[in-house]
Amino acid sequence: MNAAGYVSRSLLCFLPLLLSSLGGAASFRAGKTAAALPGVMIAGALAGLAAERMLTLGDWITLTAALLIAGCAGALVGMLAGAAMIRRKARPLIAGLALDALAAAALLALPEKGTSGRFGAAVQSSVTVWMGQWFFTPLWLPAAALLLIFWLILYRTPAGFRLRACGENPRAAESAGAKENALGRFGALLAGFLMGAGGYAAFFCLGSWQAEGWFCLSALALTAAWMGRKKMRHAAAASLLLSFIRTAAEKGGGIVWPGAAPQELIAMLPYFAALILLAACRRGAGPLEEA
Amino acid sequence: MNRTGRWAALLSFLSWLLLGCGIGAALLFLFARGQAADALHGAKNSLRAVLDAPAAFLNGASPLILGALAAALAYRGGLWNAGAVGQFILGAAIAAAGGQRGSLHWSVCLLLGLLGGALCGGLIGLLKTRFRVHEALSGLLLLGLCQPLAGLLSASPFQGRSAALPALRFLRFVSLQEMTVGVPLAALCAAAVWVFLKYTTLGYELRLCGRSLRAGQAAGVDIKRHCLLLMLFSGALAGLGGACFALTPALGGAQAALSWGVLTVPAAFLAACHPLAALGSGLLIRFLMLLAGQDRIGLAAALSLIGGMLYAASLSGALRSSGGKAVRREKREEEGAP
Repeated sequence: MNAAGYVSRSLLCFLPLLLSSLGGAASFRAGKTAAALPGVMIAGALAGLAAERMLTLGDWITLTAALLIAGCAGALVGMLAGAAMIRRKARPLIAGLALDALAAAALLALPEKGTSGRFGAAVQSSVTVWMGQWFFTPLWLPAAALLLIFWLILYRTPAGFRLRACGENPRAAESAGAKENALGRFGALLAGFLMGAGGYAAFFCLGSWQAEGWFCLSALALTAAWMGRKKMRHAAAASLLLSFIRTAAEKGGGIVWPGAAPQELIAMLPYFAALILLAACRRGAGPLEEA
Repeated sequence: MNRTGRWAALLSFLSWLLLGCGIGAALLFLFARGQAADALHGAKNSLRAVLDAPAAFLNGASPLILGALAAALAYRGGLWNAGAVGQFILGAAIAAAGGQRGSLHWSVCLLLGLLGGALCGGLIGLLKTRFRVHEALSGLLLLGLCQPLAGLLSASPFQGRSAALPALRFLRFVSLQEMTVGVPLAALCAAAVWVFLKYTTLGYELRLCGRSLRAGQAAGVDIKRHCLLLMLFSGALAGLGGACFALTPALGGAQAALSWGVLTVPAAFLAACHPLAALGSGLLIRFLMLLAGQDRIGLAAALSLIGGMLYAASLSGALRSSGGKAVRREKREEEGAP
């Protein structure tokens, strides 16, 4: 694979990472932990796949509808996690772990033949547009619209402002008249929608149901989301960087590694890079932070 | 809490778990209508397998108990050891490689596994204290690092083992002669962790920090040292669990280390992070694994039941978060504020 192919492949990986990490970052901005991210992504992918198979409309409409339905499924699962955290004061990581297990069970319960979508292998499909040596997935267009709406809600509406204020300091926001619980639910809904859409994008762009691929993607998305806790653009930048590294580490990713380098060492590369990134940026609040 | 209150809390937690079991089963029926009934009928066969070979059942439960203890200890100390899975895998790989390549004695292999897990846990603690990386995130990423590393340590780490945990032959009078040293070791570790948490000063400090790290700091606990030591101990327990797994004959192949390790964290939370209850949750998870068997739908059945129970456990209030609006209101009321 040449340089253009490598960049194109990385950008394909970037889209799901971007959507999921921004969803996760929104969750962090709202003062909640995006622990259910893998589960929400799987739920979104399953719902998107079901929509893709059931709808008999044109390619573009089907694609957009599948993305929206995936987002709705993600929002539903996000609300489940949010409800546990807000109503029952559950630890976010435990509720998230439970939802991850349930999503993994749903994925396993699906028959093998039921895991192929209408569009087949996305990269080679008829809806993938080639421009010379470059190719991009048309999923970028509805996804960009989705991201624009997300940005407008979070940064240009009173609800978004209150949500961010609540994430910064819940007590202060509550004193100023914001309803913490309602805003928490709204945050879970918004974040779940994006993460679910990211899950469908992962299935569409990467076309993989392998557990290893999902694990890697969700771990990297969580890392990028953590990086974007203060500023969302940091999440986007981290997603871009990690998607390039992930593509370099995957088999046939376009980078020719020296023959002696074992595949296991190359497979470690994205995780190692993510750890270095986290350690270098020191975005946490130190050892006193409680999950 | 008095004795009656404790029993009421326990009964409430168990009823939540039962409800979660129902949720898991309902979801399974929703996703796989045809096969779900077969999977749940397999429970009868699993029960028969347990009664026929109780020693094999207990041997399988011991690594899970040790892994659950690792996650529970970290949680009681205020940290989330999501990397227990990675430590479990690394411990298994190091112990198996030691036994296979170095032809070492089983006790040395156990020690090597323990050290491997402790090293991995210590690294998470170091990243938290020195570089402010959240332990759950670094644990998750270290799992991604440990998995290929385990493959690299030995080409076929779990085949043709030369070292194995010895069986306790003297227990033949109760038909448990196949039971390995791993089972009493797990029980001993559970008891030791319980005594440590309940009756030692360090254990008290640990529980205090588990309630609130800030409270611990205010009471004079060195938080950095606390985080580092806690992750070291937790990692050591997870590594020991992995080593027990690798040195117990007939417990699956290389892929199995991951799928067993993944279940250690839910096992801790199903026990509400109580060290003695981890014994029961380890046995429960082992039973669910027998139910799962080898096929896809069986694994889905086990995961849905575990997920349902875990969700219910999170709702039950036994593992509540220390933040939130209602908790703050309770605190204000206690302080006498309007």
